[in-house]
Amino acid sequence: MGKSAKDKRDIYYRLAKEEGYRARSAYKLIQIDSKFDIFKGVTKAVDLCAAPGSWSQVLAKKLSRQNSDKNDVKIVAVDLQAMAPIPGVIQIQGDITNVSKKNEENKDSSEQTDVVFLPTCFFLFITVSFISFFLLILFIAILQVSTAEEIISHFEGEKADLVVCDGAPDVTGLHDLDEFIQGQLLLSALNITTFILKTGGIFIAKIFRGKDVALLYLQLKIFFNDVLITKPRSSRNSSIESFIVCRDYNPPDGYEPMMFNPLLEEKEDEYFENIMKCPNNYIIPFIVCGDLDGFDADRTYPLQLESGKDYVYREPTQAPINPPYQKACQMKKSSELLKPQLT
Amino acid sequence: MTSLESVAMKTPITSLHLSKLHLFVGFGNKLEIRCLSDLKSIAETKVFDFINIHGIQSFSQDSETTIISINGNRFVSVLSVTHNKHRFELQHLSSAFNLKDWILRTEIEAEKIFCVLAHNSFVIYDWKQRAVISKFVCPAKCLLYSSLIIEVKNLSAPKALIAAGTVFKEVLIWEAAEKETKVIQRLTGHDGVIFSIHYCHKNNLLVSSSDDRSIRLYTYNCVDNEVESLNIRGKQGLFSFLAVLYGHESRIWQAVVCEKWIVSVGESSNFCLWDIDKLQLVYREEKFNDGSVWSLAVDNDRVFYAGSDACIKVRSFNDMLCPTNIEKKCFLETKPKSLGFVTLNNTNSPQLLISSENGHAAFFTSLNKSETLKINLGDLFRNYCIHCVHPLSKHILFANKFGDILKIDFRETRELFKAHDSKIFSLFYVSNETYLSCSINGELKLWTDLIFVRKHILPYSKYRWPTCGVYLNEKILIVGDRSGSVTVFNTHSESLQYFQNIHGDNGVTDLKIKPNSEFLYSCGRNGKIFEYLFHSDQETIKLLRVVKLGHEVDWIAKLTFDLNHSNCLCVLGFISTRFVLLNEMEQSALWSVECGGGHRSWDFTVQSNLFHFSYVKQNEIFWHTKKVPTSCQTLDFNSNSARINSGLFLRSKENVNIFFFAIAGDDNDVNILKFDISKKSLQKEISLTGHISNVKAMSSIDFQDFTLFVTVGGRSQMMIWKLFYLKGKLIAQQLINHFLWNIDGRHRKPWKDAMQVLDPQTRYMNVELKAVDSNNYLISIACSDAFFRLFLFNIEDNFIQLIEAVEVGDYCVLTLKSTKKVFICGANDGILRFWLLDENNLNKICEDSISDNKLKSPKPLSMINGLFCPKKRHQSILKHLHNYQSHQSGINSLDCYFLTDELLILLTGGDDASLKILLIDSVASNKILATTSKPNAHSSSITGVLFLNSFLFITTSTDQRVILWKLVIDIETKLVEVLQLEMKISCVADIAGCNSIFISDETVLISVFGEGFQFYEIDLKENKFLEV
Repeated sequence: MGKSAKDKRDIYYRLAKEEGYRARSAYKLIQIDSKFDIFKGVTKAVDLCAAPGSWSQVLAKKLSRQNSDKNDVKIVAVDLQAMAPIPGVIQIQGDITNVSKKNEENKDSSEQTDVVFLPTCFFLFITVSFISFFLLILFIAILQVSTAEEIISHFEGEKADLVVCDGAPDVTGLHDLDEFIQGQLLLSALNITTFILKTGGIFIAKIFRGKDVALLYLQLKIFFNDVLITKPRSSRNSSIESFIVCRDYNPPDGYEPMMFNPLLEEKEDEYFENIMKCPNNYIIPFIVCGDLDGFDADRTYPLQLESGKDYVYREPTQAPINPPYQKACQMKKSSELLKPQLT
Repeated sequence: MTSLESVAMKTPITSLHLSKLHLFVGFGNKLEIRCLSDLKSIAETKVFDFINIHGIQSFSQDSETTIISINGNRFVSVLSVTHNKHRFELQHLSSAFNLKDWILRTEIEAEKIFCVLAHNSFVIYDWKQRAVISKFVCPAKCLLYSSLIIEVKNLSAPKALIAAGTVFKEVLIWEAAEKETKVIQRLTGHDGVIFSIHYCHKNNLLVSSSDDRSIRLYTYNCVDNEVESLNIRGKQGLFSFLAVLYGHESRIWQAVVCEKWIVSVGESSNFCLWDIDKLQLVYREEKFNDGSVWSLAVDNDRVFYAGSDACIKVRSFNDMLCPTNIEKKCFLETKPKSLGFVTLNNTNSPQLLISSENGHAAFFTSLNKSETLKINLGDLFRNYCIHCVHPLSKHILFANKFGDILKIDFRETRELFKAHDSKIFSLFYVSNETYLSCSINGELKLWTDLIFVRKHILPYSKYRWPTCGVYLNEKILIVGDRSGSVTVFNTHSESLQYFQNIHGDNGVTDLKIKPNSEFLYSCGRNGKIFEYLFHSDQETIKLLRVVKLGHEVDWIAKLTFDLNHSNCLCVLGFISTRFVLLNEMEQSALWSVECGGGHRSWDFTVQSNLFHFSYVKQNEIFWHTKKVPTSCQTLDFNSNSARINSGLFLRSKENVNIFFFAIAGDDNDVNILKFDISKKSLQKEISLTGHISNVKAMSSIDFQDFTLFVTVGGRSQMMIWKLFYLKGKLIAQQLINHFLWNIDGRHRKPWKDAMQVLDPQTRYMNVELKAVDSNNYLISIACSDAFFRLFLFNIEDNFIQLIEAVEVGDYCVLTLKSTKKVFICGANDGILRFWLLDENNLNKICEDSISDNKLKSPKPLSMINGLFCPKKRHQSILKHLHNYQSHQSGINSLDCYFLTDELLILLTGGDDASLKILLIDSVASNKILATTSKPNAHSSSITGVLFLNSFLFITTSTDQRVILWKLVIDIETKLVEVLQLEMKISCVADIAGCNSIFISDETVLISVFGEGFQFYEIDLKENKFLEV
């Protein structure tokens, strides 16, 4: 297969390259916005799990366009991976040492850890964007109140209007495990969000619409008055991914933000007790977003989209940075991988 | 009894565990127990209601009773097995208990189960009390992918040592204790997620495997007076890094360390065996299918592993570690020309016959010894000499460039005769007593002993001599030649059938009959094996299909069935410079020898459990021997190794209890399984290969004596098959292999390049097959380039043509259904589109094409490039009726049912998790009379809808639920209501759809497929189903 094969099969992959986005997932946020108008009145936004930065690119573009005074707009992108700068986006790298000062018990051990420049793989993924999963997990694991405070400090003490998170695991193929991990990722993002989101604010995150999607829906309903699941047309029909749009942040009375949350556990117990009953005990609103006149992620398009406009192959905007398999791949290329002694 | 009863399933095997007597297998929600001595299945039980098994551990209570803990997701369950000479008993001791976090690892000791949970905590659960008695949370709060309980001591005030594999490159060694729970050591070095950790107490080694495709090895060293140290079995110490092993080319799910070896498995199905002392990769199994291996169990002499293809592979250390013995001999005076193995009747080991340039032939029992016999063939045999050995080694024949054949037996009796007038190119046996010789201009002569039998002339070709042949029942002669053609001759010397160039320009290499069968196989240097069927009373053979073999083998040299007495096809071939011996059933390499490639004289034989392979390399002769693997076994058949996109029941003609079930999916294979409803047993019947990309959909029509079967998938490939039954066996014949593009590559037809560039990588999403008349079939295909295509297939002429391509809209077409006259397409924009078929026009096309079809019929098994098919000369046969917006986005499933002759009910399931029911007047204009919608019918995309009868239907979804619904229709008011009757959570993840077949008047068998498949049975008689 030639290198243009991916361009034929995946129109959004191709468009992302042509329009300078770092990943095709940019269109998903654009389409969510076109349906739910999530950027309305937003000046302060947080992109959790930002790398490689396509969502931050969209945030920067949209928020600066709609606010006449650019100084009002604050976008904080949080990730452990250093990411290429985006004009108008403040980057916070999860700071390990900061945490270890707080957690004295981890002091010795954290000195042995060099996770600051954790290599991660970033791709222009065609199916599910597995963007910076390790980072988010790690980041959530160590991210303490201090990071939340740092984010808020960039907003001059105010809280965010919008928190988005497009993190997903590097799927193994064991669907139940993958769905569980993705769910934990989402709940961790929710926990951080409870520190930094203003009442009435919006939270958007990637969700896998698998076996236990109803459980996550129930859990998010605790904190938001309006929760629904959406699938942008730029996300493939065959992909299990969707996005949960949580509007009107309204935590229970007297709720104190915390990193591990007993309210979530109660819902989980309730869910598993009732699992063998009808699944439509839970009505999960589902809305498709994205213009019907736009492109279809599942359709195969000819390379020449319009007559008179010739197809030109473009390299991906950003190549993968230090993926975990980098060394093994290099060794394979140079035939350094061990070979069996017996055949 | 519930009305939706699960009767069989085959899903990825996610857990294996060995106890003293048993092998425990966890797949889906079921536990299977096999006896370790004979590996036979003794019991199977359902452990969980709605989750899949991820771990099994056992504890020997006494010599007869074993307690087993089984975990999956957040739950743990306990069983016991009692097994002695007189009885086997399986008991459920404690039902699923929720530990509220994903369980990564368990150990069991009497009533206590120790568990490490995904959020890095350790709990002790007492299954008798059904309570968690202690919980320790590691101060390093993070999510784990793997963990290990190294040791638990002092059960009254428990203290445990845990190894936890994080997603951020570390293995944490932490201690859980009442006094203080703390991280003691952090093992770093991996570049990715840690997928498994294992520790061996015998050699104090810890191994971890990772996303970074490496295995790291740490050793436990004793230390004194260190403030922060570990304590394992009373010894103070710390882990220190020993080695990192790179050898896997994909993620490593599991690595197990035992006394001398490390065994590792992962994403690709090749498993690795590593030597700890030498830190070397000792053995890697070479396999040609690409399923993940999820589970691994190792005992003293065997390795068991299993994964997504749902079967268990058993390999013994002895087999894997058995070395290849190499002998070599250098010939200085004369150049060795050709060699071959000869096994005399009274001996067990073969002798190697080497004929040299100087016209001598010598026999060796070993290359380290001098020859046992040396024959001077004479001057006539100098410089050019070919030989062949009698199949039972009674004598040897030599042929020369003058047309002479010399027969020599082992008493050195010589008989020389003139067979041809000039050089003999080929000489080989075609049956036990008959041999064939060939001279120039394709002059073939058959001989029995020294008596001439008959003569044939090979059709004209560039390299006009045969390379292999079979003499069937002393009647028909089938030969394969150096020009890649297979020719069939009958007694009257004319060529009856000629399969020109089917093995490519480099020639046919072998022809073999499967013992005691009616199948013939040919192979060649195009890397392909073909299957043919012959009737003993007929003089022709029927070319059936391609036999599956890893595409890596570019040169197939020989076929053999007598390797291990199982009648299983084994293949000798070359992968670049290596000689390989492959097992067709296992799709794996049994032996591989680096020999420099196939362009040399070589021979292979199996004698008294030894493989022999010998080859010439310049002046040297090499003789390799290796023991035949003895305990290489596969328990149960291997299923598809990736997601199943399509499943289809086919009716057996011979037995009412037998049903065939075809499955196909992302691994490009189509497997047809045989399900015996009375025994609830599944077997693999046949595996169809040929798709070069994933298979998306299948359709079939059953006839009295055969089934027409269509498979479609990625890269716009369509294959048509004819399935028929012979003596209870299913036989498949490939009729058509069609593409919308030029598979030969652009270099073949450079003048057509302009069109090539515009070619999108169209995927076929769905297919329906229907009969126009007894010869013509209409194949309708939903395509990803937003087209709906109609093909007309004429079975008599074996001719296919594209007769219609309609642009459906701007979105990928996902589903398709047709009634007698109407086509209904569901696309990714949620719109249903209705088309009327102009039958008169279609019939006209059928009639018109009769005359010129025959000329255009493709060669058997050839690939048809459909992109440049002739322009249609006819009027459109489709008339667009109307559209209906049924869903917000993709219509993933579609089914219809005729309530009455006039009234059609249409059911659609969408990606938006809703269900739509449409009532359609099928007589006048196909108007939609009424619609009802059921939003949130599932909590995720609905991938399957299926009518069982006029008022019951099934839906399936990626939320893993299978729901039985009841339809209540008031025909007067056109009011439609749906009621949910029954819901099951299937063990099949990522469900792609469902299919059904009536197994009796009242009972339906339903299949649900995705990651594996599951069968349910429904009795339609039950009261609660009856119509309101």
